[in-house]
Amino acid sequence: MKNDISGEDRLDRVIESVKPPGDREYIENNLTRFLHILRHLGVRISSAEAVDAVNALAAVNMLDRRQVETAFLATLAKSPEDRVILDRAFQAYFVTPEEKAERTAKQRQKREQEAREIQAVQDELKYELEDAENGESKEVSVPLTEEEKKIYTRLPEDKKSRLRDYLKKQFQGNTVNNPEQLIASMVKSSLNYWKYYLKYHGDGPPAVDYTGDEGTDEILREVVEKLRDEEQLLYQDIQNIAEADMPTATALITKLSRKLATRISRRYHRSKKRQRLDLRRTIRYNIRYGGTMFSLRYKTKKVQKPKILLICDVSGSMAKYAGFVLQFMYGLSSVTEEIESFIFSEKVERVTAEFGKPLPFEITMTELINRSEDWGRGTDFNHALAEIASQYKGLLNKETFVIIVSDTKTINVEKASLRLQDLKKKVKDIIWLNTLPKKLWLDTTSVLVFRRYCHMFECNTLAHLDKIMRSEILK
Amino acid sequence: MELSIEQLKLAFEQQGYIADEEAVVTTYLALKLQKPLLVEGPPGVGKTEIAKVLAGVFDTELIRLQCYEGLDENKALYEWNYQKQLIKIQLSQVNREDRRQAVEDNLFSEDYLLERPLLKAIRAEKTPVLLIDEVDKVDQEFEAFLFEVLSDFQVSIPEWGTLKSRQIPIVVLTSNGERELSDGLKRRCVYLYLDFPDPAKELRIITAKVPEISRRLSLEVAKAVGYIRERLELRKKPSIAETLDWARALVALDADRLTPEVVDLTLNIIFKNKDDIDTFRQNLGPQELVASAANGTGVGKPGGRG
Repeated sequence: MKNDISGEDRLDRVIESVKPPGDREYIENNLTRFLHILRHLGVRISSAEAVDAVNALAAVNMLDRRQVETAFLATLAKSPEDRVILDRAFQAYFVTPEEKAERTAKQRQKREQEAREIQAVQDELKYELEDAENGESKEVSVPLTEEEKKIYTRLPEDKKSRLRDYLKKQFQGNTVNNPEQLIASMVKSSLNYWKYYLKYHGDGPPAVDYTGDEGTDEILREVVEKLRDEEQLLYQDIQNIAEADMPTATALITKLSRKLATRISRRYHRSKKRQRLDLRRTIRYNIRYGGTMFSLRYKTKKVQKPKILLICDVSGSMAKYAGFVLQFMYGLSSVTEEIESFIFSEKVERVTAEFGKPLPFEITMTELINRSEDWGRGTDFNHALAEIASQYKGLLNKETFVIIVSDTKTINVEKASLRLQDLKKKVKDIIWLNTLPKKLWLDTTSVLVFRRYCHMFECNTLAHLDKIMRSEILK
Repeated sequence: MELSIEQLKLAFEQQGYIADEEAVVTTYLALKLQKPLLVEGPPGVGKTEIAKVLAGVFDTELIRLQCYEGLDENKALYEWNYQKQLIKIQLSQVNREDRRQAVEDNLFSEDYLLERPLLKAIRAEKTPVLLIDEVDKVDQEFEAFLFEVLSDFQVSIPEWGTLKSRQIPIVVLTSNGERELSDGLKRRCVYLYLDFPDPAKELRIITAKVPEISRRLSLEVAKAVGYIRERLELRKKPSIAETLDWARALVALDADRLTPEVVDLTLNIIFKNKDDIDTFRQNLGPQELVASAANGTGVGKPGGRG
């Protein structure tokens, strides 16, 4: 212990000795904290850029708020998305002391409210237990962990009251052996379900890495809330997008699918670069110069446009995303000629013809939905792949790029994975757009199995789709 | 030549480039920190123009490297004039006057070097403006090569050794954001995002570039274009260049204000494909556009941050 104190002392002294004097210390500390916050919001900032920011600050008028922000924007935020985050963080971080105090008070109030709610859980989830021996009843609280209590507070009111009623009705006067444990496990498992549910349905802005430091987290929370309000459409789960927002979302999906198509085709054009001397044509051409190799001729690889094979899941579990899937297929089909589209659930169906016609989206959809029997059934990915492999052999070759849109929930996972492995060998590459939230991937066997044979991306918000476009693999 | 922020703003205006404060301050920072300026934004918002204006402001040469898929070092840096070298060899064999060594030395002299934009910028006498246009179109390997050149401003030619630039050129890179650029390249640059201008700025641009236009018409054009960009989901939003073309076309048609008829006649100038014209007719139409531009409710969202 004594050693610790002296160690701390020494550390303090070292910090003291390297501290720059006077005002500079304040500005630099402030700046590094700001950078820290930006990094926690997902903006990637290198040390070189931090140095640039300091130099930029020295070059502008520090008393002009706009100029200071511009200096940060120019040196730290290097994409339109990062600019929005930096702007909101700047507004939240560089505030007057009064605003800061107000925010702290608000946050504290919020935390106290949360604490009160958690405290109340103990009282709300009580039930009466009759003692079999003396006939007296006593009140028992369900022993819950802090996390479980938190989940309870996040539930909608009707779900809460259902849980309370359940406790009242089921166990009043019911004398079973060791009922306390039984009840506790019942409530716990119910809360566990809700934890999964809330996770599944909770959509939010980009992942934020909270620091644990109160002051910093306050700012992070404020920025996140602001972003969530503004960029709702982009960060919203596609299945929850309201009817009114659909046109905008549709336009976005079309734009992004078009981007995907150009991105993929671009990747293959690169082979053009590898030039080799074409000796035969060079000699022939240069005969006119008496055999001097005056003009060189190169062999160029033929540029083949990639074929896209789109396989979309339209089973029951994907029903909520059907709109998205179809928009995506339509968008991709309208810009790429070499595309084959399939939909599958229990069976597989080729829908290339439907999407190939230059008809408006609504008509294509009505036609497709009326004709197909696959909508909303169970999923058999194994069967779908087997059928594609046997009936459409000609489509699978090294120029084919496969895009699968599915939540991976299927029967016959093992068999399907073997099929996928087989498919992988035959085609150029496989991209899997998974509508299942990434947080659930680790608990889902099918995801783990399929992931081995393809590049899998989480894709249930438009922000995801946009991110996929920017990802390394498609560069 | 050192300029302050105010002086730079003034110089931009003298060159006929209407820039908001953010663009000026960012450009100023790039000059001050001697870093390349990376300008991103949709097509037609004046990204390339910044380089041209800078060349005008500093009265210096503008060296342009237009990027495209498959662009390689030979096309960007230097090439030996292979044909000329061959002729030289042939001639020396015929004449037999030159000694072998001398011929070989001469083959890699200045006379046989084809300078490409990057080398030209490095060897320039007076600080040039180097414009690397549409950098998002190049392959990743070339991008890596590019940021090596941009960080040291030196290249090595095996026959000559290392060439270091006499002064650091003013570098402007532009990108349409078709592909995310690598972190390495971004890290070395000062970043500017140019969005479509708000109606007020667009009005200033129209007045500066089309001086013969009436005040009323320019105001209506600026509002109408802002309204179109905000309201319609288009394949290609009208850029500043299209706004100016439209303004000029309207002046040529002797219009002094927007009317549905004149809008209908000039649709092809604002929209560059049939889908967009259809979208316009279905969702907005000339009548509504004219009404919104005339009564002032159609003021578009300001460009904003991001």
